[in-house]
Amino acid sequence: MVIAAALFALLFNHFSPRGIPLITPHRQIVAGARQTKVPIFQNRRQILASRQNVSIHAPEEIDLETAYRHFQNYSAIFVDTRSAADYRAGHIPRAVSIPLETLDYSADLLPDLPRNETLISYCDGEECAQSIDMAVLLSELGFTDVYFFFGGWDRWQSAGYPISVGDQS
Amino acid sequence: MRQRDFHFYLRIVVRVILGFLFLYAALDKITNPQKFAEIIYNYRLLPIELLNLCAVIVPWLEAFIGLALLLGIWVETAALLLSGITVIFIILIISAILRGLDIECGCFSLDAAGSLVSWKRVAEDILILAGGIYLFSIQK
Repeated sequence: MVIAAALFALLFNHFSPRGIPLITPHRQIVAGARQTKVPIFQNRRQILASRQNVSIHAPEEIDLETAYRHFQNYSAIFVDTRSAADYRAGHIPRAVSIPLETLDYSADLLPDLPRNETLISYCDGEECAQSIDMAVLLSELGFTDVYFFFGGWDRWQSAGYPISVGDQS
Repeated sequence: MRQRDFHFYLRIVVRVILGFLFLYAALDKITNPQKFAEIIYNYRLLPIELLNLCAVIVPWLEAFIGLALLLGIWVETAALLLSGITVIFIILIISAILRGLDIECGCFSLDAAGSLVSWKRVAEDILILAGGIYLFSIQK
């Protein structure tokens, strides 16, 4: 029965447009001193779509100090990828809330922004990868100056930098 | 004699309920494997390379178990598998809770707002496990 289910699963996955590669593709991201494997969760349709975007500008990591400098200089827009509830409980001031978990992937994000705007995505901290996923997504949408702040909310908060609470950015 | 009738009917009820549950749980995951892979990833237990394979096979296993229980074929095998798989789920959920992970369970629905891991989920799974063991242990 297990074998039957597995065979059926593999067959279905092979022919479904929403099928996924059997071995999870991933990219190596150098974050701080360590290398992290970040899985790429894409189904067949999404993989095909992303191949058509040949030249995407690869997003880069920034550290806490750089993020804070951008914050002080008003030189970047922060994108909070955590849930709406987390955002409400506290976020980097002026950050835009785009929860990745409820994201409609067909929608154009931040349509009013010029594509050369500096964007910095973040999530909880080093345990999460949504900041990277969001940065990649924004790059694929044509933004050319995208960074992910890998230290995220944890580092920001423990550094004692300003925060905002509530739905307003 | 009455005892036997009681178990005869209870067996059918448990079978159908568990069958529907597992089919229902499988459906969302089958139509959205990459989302399910992401949920498994959040548990931080499997090597990254294996996430997708798991996300492809587990839902279909659930579907086959559900279907077998509903149709009443291979009930013992299905019940045994169901019990085994549910024990694994229970361990995974408890480990996530103990590690303080605030993640989606991925139990029945992949909906983001759906369901986080919690003791309630563990209790549900223990109920399911009880049903599975009952089906397995009771004679036709």
